[in-house]
Amino acid sequence: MSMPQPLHGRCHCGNIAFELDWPGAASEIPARACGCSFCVKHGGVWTSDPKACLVVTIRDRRLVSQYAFGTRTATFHICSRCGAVPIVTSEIAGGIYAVVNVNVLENVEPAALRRAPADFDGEDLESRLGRRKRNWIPTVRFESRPADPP
Amino acid sequence: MLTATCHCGAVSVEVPRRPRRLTSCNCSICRRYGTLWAYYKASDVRVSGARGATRGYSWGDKSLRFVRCGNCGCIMRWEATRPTANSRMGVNARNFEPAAIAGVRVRRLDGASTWKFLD
Repeated sequence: MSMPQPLHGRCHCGNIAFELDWPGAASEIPARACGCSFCVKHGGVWTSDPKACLVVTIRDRRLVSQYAFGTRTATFHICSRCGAVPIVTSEIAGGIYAVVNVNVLENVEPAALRRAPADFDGEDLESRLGRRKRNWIPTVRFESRPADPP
Repeated sequence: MLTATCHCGAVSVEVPRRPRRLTSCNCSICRRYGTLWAYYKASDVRVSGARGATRGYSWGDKSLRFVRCGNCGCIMRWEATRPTANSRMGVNARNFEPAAIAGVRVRRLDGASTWKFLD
């Protein structure tokens, strides 16, 4: 069975949402359980595809906090209302690359996720950025959306 | 005794013993948080961090509050919003040293629909 298009994801309260156009008729999507110190604590499991296209919609930018550590080349976007971490971005040579958290996807059956551990410890900075440039989502757009009426 | 610490180190949670079991829940909030819960009597858990270091989130009937580090966002625990003497607390075992909980049985809870264990 192929995936619904696009894939939808959002934090719990809906402040950060995204649509991900996945290339072709994928029947499963890779899900990398990252072994870094941040992702282990967050249970972070990520996906990306170099042909995918991501649109992130934020209701209230004041309710998004950013966290970085180590090489500080990856930015974790945390909803400051509910605390979910739907996306990570990395700025490489003027371009924005992203991965999305499969734990926040809404229209994907858990069985369609091809889970595998991923460990990038020991990678030097150049290889790290090169890998992201090859594998992460290269087309990323941020949009604002007015808040729902109370 | 075991200590769970967030990524930036601002917040920690101390529990009296290693959990015998962990719960992975697929409800709308737990799956997003990627949490792995260890349960204790709330009065047995010691929470530390500077004043204002944490943020809380409640929804629905708001009987529980999920507490996280306001800086690095690590989900530390859930607690009753109206605690009683026997209230329980869920401590996110992802913040323990992985070696400290290696081999502890993880049960999968279907919090999304039946509220029964799937294994």
